[in-house]
Parts: sequence; structure tokens; C-alpha cells
Amino acid sequence: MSTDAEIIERSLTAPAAFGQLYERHARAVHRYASRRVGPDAADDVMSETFLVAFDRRRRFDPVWADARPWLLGIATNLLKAHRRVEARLWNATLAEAARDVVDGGEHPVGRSDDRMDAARAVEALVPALTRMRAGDRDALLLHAWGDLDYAQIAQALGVPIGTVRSRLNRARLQLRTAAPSDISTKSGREPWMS
Amino acid sequence: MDELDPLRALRGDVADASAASLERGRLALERHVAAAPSAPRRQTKPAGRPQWLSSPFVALGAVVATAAVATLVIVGTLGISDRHPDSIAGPPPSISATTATPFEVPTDCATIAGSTILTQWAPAFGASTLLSQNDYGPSNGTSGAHVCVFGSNDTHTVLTIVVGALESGPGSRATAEASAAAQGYTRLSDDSTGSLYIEPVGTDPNSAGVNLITNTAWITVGSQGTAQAGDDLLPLLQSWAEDVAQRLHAY
Repeated sequence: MSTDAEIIERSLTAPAAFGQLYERHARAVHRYASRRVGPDAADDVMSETFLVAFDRRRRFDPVWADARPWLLGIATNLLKAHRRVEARLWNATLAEAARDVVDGGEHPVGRSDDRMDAARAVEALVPALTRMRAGDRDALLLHAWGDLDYAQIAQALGVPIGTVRSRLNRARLQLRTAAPSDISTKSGREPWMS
Repeated sequence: MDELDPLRALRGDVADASAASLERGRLALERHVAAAPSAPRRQTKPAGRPQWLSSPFVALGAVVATAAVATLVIVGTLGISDRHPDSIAGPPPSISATTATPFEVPTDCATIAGSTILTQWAPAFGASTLLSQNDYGPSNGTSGAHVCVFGSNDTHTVLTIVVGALESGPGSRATAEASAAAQGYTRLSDDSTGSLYIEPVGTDPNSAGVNLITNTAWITVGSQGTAQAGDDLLPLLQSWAEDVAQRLHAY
């Protein structure tokens, strides 16, 4: 099976070959975009990511066999145009968590502690994420939602790996600081995650 | 517990793309590929002075150094003295790159700032031109300042970016931060490695600037005359400033 780099190389003379890259990675790009801006805007981001990638395919570094980090990097740049949508989604998430906490307090019977913990964690998490530097947040979400490792994030964002390390360290520290103490001190998998 | 676990759980169960949206994307790509020229055009730098730069670009920012900290750099005010009259009525540049002309990042700028940060501007500026500092006025005389200017003869808009950085003396970060605050800069964030300030908003909503003050440098990245609102530019400028700081080992 051809590597992504080989497909891109082939597409320079046979452009239609680029379609294979879409078949391989469209779902992953959509999943990442959908987590950030919701499914509707994710459709646009996914589509546009591949149009931009096609136009810029000569710039793809063939050292990287896997094109997914490169594609997620393009998607991350395109997501900047959807910042307001992303902010609305954060606000909606926060509002939903707040409702859970309030409802749980008024009607504790039938509301699991797990769900309350989840709502409290979200209430702490979302403001920390929205306050974060954009570059730190991009690195963090590429790691957590795009499943990229440090080197791949560096490739996606076009920054040195040291920058990725410092951004993720800052982001982790902010999340750790924001986490509710009764949740962050627990060990192991959190019950609300199940 | 890994502090990323809650984040992974949040929206971790997002639905896959629907068959319909995948099909729409597939068709869009096929149309785009079919419409593409057989060999991508290469951007060539036009000779001479661009039309839209009908008079010297002016007003690079002042260099201010306190007596105590004589080596801090401030690269500040950006300006366009005579923008082309079509710059407002002309076709607005778009972030969308579906019709972008291939754009080569000038070497000088690419080595200073991340090329992937810079290239995302390219679609918005069509045939862009890098101008040397001599093309728009005298040097601000700041050692260590790097300047990249981009404009478009197609859209008659201009993007200007100025990056300035110079090492400062020990203990000067506090002085630099105090100076930024005194100039009305808004502190966006700060941590042990650097403080990020936004320049005060001027009369032009399409300008923006960020200042990253670290223990060893004051880095300014600014832009003006763009079709995007200043608010939309800030994340890009911030990324650029951080990248510059990393390359200068300013953290």
C-alpha cells in the first residue's frame, strides 16, 4: 500500500490520485473539527482542508509518510475562521454543565455523583480552555482530540518540537490548576468518564 | 490522574462524518482537482515598486529605552500613508484558499517566522510582494529588528508585519512590563516564561499588534491594512510572536 507521501508525490503529475488521501483521512479531519466547532461547521472545515491541501501539496515534506498531522494542521488554521462558532460551542457546553449541577442539587435522587462530577469538571475545564493562549490550546487539542504526538503536533503547526513541549506544559498546568480539587486528587480513571 | 483525561472525555464520543457530508466533500475535491491547472503556477516576485505603495510607507515605531534598561526594543506603530483608493471597494481577501495562487514564503521571513504561520496569509493576499526595508522608508535603526512587508497588486491591500527583538539586561522584564502598561497595552496573559500584551486599539479596526515580553526580549508582531478585523488577526500574531521567541531562545 502506498504511503501518503507517495500518493501526494503521484498527485503532482496525476492530480486525481489525491482523492486517495481524502478516503484515508477525511473522517479523522472531520472528527477533530467536529469536536472543536460541531458537526455542521466541521463539514466545511473537512472539505476546505482537502482543497487547501491539494493546492499546497508541493509543500508537503515527503520525510513524513503520514499526512494526517499535516492535514490536521491545515484544519487547525482553517478553524481560526470559525472562532466564534467554537466559542458558542464552549458556552453551550458550559451552560449544559451548569444545568446539570443545578438540577443535580435540586433533584439529587436519580442524579448520579458521576454526572455531577463530570459537570463540575466541565465547569472548571471550559473557562481554563477559553483563557488559554490560542497556540497552547491548538497544541493541546491536537494532542487530546487529534491524537497527535509531540513530533506530529510540531509538524502540524510548523513549530519546533521544543515549542510544542512548552505549549503543552503550559496548557497542562492551566488545566491542573483549574481542575476541582475533589476530582483532580482522585487517582485512576474518573467514574464520570465511563 | 492525567489532566487531559477530562478533556478527552469531553466530546470524545463525537459522531463520525455522515455519508452525505463525506460525499459532498469528495465531490468538492473532485471539482477542485478537475479545475486545477496541470502544473501549479509559481509566484514570481515582480520587479520594481508595487502600484499600491504610491508613497513611502512610514512610521515604524519608536525605539524606547529607559536609562536603566538601555537595550529594550519596542517596535511599535505601523502605518500606511497612502493606501490605494480601491483598497476598500476592491474584492475582499478571504481566508479561504480554494482559489489561492501558490505563494512562496520569502526566505528572509521564513527563517524568522514559522513558514506555516505565514503561508496562511497568502491566500488572502493573492500575488504578494515582499518589500525590502529600503522600499518604504528609512530604517528605524533598531538592531535586531526584522521587518517583513506584504502587499497585493491584485487586491490593493497590504499586510505589514514587523518583528522586533533585542536582548535586554537582567531584571529588565519588570521594567518592560511597566512600560507596556504605561503605554496602555492590555495584558492578555502572563506566566513564568513570558507576558503577552495587546497593543491599544487605534482608529483602524483592521490593525492589531501583540507584544511578548520574556526575561530576555521584547517581541512585537503587528499588522495593519488587512481585510480581516484586528480581533481575527490576534491569534495568528500571537502564534508568530511565540514562534519568534522560541527561535530566539527568548524563553
